[in-house]
Amino acid sequence: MRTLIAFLIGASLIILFMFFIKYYFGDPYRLLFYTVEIKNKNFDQVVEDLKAKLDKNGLKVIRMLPLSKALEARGVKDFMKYTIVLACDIPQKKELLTKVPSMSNLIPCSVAVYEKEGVVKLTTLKEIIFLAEEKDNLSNEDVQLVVDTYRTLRKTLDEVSK
Amino acid sequence: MRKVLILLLFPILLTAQDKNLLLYKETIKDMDFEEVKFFLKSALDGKNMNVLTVMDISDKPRMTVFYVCNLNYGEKILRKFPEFGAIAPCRIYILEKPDGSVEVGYINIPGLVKTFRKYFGKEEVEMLMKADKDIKEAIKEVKEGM
Repeated sequence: MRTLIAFLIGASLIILFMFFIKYYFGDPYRLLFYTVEIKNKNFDQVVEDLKAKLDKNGLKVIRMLPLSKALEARGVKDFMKYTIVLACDIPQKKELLTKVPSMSNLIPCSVAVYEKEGVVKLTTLKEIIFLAEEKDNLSNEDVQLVVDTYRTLRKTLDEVSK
Repeated sequence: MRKVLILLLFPILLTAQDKNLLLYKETIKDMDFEEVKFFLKSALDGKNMNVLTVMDISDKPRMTVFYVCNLNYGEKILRKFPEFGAIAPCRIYILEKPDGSVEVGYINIPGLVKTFRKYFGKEEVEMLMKADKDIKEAIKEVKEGM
């Protein structure tokens, strides 16, 4: 009886582990993108709030790219409201990027702000795949720097969504 | 920290199909960094890949990142998959190597297309592959001395 219970517990743990792996690593979307939805603010409020909170949390904003306004100026009228915020201008970027130039896909970071079906959304990248690919070229400190920056970035997006 | 990360990422590393899953790079020899920077910007402009921002990262070694976008491609891709704006604008880096050569690199677009194929329609795939072709042709023009 004990053996059977131990077997069932073991099998359940293995199934849970496999589900975890499939859930987190089986879908490239979940692995690469972090998205939050904002229901109680309009698009312009979200952009302003995001900019202020990024600066406040030390993820300095470099440039705003108002994509939908640029498209509108070209005569495209039916494109969703869309702005890309270029931020995360961290002081250590010179050392990091000259050592591992592919990190330029992460630092500075981009946050896409867009309105889809009446809901404003914020999307940014997740750092995990980029770090995995460069695992041999990054020191522990480099990994920690990127992980900390992206953790703060996700926290900032969560703050904007509240 | 790095060991924990590698352990967590073991499944990804096992399933990675390409060696450079996320990066495409080329080396340009016998050309100065500033020449590469100037000619690459001109070549990209010529392909309608507009350089929105130029960020000089370092003087020693010299490193610059171009933030590049083609609005026509961007419009079609983001209509279908707005999350892709988190990768935009496309970053193209130029880095001076210790041997004097210059490395040019950017995100591996065909690799991304392969990974996210199910999220795109035929037209978006064509746009992404056209953007990749334009960038590669611009680099080729620089290599061949414009």
